[in-house]
Amino acid sequence: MNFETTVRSVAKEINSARRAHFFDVNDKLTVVVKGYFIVAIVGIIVDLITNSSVLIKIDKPFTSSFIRYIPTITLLIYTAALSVGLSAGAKGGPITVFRSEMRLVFLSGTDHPELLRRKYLKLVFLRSYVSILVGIVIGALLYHLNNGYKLLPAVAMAIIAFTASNIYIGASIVGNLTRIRPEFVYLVSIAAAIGTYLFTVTSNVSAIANLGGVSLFAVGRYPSEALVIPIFALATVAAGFLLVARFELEPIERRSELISKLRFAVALRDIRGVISLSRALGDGGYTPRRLPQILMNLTMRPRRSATYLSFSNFYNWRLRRYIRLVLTVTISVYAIDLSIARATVDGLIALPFVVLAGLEMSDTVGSLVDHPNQFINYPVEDGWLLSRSLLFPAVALVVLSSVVNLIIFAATNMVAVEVSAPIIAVMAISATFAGGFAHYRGSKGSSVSMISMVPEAAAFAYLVDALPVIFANSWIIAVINTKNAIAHLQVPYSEAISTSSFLLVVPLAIWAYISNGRVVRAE
Amino acid sequence: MANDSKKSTSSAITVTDVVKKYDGGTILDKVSFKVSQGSITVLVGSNGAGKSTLIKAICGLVKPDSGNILLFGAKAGSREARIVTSVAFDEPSLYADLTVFEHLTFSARLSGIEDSEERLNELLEKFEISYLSERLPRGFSRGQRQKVALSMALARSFKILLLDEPYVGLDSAGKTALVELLKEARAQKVAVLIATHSPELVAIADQMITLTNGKVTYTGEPKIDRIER
Repeated sequence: MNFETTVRSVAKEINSARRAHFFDVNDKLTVVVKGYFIVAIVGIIVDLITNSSVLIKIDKPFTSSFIRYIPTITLLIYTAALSVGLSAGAKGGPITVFRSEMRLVFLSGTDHPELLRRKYLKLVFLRSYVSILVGIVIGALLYHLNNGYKLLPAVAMAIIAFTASNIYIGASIVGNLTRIRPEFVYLVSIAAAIGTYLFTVTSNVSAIANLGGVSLFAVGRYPSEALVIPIFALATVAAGFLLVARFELEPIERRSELISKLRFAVALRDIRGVISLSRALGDGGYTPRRLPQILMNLTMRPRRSATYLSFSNFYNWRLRRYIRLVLTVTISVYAIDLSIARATVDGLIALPFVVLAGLEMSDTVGSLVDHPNQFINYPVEDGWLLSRSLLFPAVALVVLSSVVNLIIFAATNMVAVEVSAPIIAVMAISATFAGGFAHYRGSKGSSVSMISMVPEAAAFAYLVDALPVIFANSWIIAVINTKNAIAHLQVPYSEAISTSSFLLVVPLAIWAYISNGRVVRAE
Repeated sequence: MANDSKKSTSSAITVTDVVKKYDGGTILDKVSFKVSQGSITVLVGSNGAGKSTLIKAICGLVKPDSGNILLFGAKAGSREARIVTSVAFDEPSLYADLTVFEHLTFSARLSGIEDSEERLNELLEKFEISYLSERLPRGFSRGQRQKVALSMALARSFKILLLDEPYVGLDSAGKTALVELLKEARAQKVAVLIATHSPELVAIADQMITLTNGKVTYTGEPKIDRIER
């Protein structure tokens, strides 16, 4: 056996040994929680597909309009994949090598191009597999919405998803090797997207737009044009495969170092570390983070500036965070509404998303890391700062969930069958689950006072603070109903809205307590 | 440790006019020196002087903007250079899901050494971490992790040994073991380069290189009074 064969077999044995220790390094509760999240997400998807005909009504004009824009939509998807891929590559991705692997395997006498090509191929196969599955699910959903009309069957969607995925991967490798500037990529992509759209709206038969017409291939139109983009995707993957040998260890090493530190910070619940490292990773790890663009009024008294800081943060969020939050809240509220309307157990599915929504909002506390001087001056030891700076997210979350709830009711015309029972069930399970998890996390391996061992107590205190918001929310909805401003809404809906708002505040309260303990210890 | 190099040269590491810049700042500024076979060289300098960057450049993790680094005539980072080199960094990086003994075994095997059980057990005993042999690194102290990382570096086959701040976190037993193992390596014609602040390691060195703001300001006999300059 030559040296390279030996190295390859050792690398395989390392993976095998690591798998053998899976349950030793992941505590049982974490495994259960991860499993629960996966089941919940799958449940949501199945639930959406089986109930989707309620959500969207597709008539003939809509369908014919949709057919016209299919090539454009598809091409825009491909453009986005190309843009995001180039940008991700320029920032150091997409191949991830953990630092331990870098130290042990990559610094040995291995053949780097061979090793990286294997990683690259694994990435391509995995992403292709997942994208095809997702494409089939979306295709099936659209097929179902169209009552069997073969507009976008699963096969076409699978091809689109596969093509987009491979364009992304190939482009990211090329972007990595050329170190193209992300700003340049975005500008070109935006120009391409606008150009595509203009071509489509100004001409019935647009040559450029038809390049995106892989979906038309499935219904028997323009097969030759339809194949251009998938061939381009495969070409980018092939180019990436050939160019992988030019990868340099330095950017991979920097990325692996950041990832390693980030995992460690997550394990320690080091909020400050997680945020600063995530930012560095987002920036590709090449340049230090610039000072944030949050303007502080230095003459303002510290206690007032905390609230001001939260508002500033909200405006400075990245777009993907807004999108993620809206999606999370929509899923939570929709699932709760379904459970109310049909007296089913859909509300259970909302549970992890409710927790996620809470986490998403309360994360704004982390921005204080950018102002260490003021942070240290705050009375963090009594938890005042965190409660104060979480007040705005709590209010915003309640308002957001109410709006989402109204939209869902207006769009679906759901009828409440039974209100009380599912709400009580969801609340009871939410409190038990989240409280128990917080208790487990809060007490693990730390030497803290007794009050820290009972996070529910702090959560309760915070809930009391938030009660006026919930009551005010109920009042607003009740007044709207009294005035018949939204005629078709009935009294139970206002209860539902208030209750879902209440549920969304629960994880906030728990997270406030956990974060508080961690930040104080970090100080 | 590996036998003597076939193309044996007295200079194991040759660094010539190496420049490295990050974000506009010059970390290494025309650094040049040589490290001979069968010698221990200490690289000293204050924090931020460029010691760790230089170690990373020699093992191939950092690419110099200009200049050359040759390890037994092979370019730093090339496969030929990596085969003869072993490194332990200032921050030990271990797999969370491999036991200590698995770490050592795989480290040895990746450098072509099979049937290394006796040698590995000897290393664990010297560093007094035999009791950790079958444990996963989760919950290890800084010193324990450092001992495992050093054992991994020493378990390999090498003709060049690069150590970045090896004394950090080590107890007196660990320090004694390391000094013994370094002397052993020198006797076997290994070229050892250590980035350190430790007077104990300067005391056993044959050559000392001082880095100040990325520049070599002293090369010659080890002098403890020059450590922090």
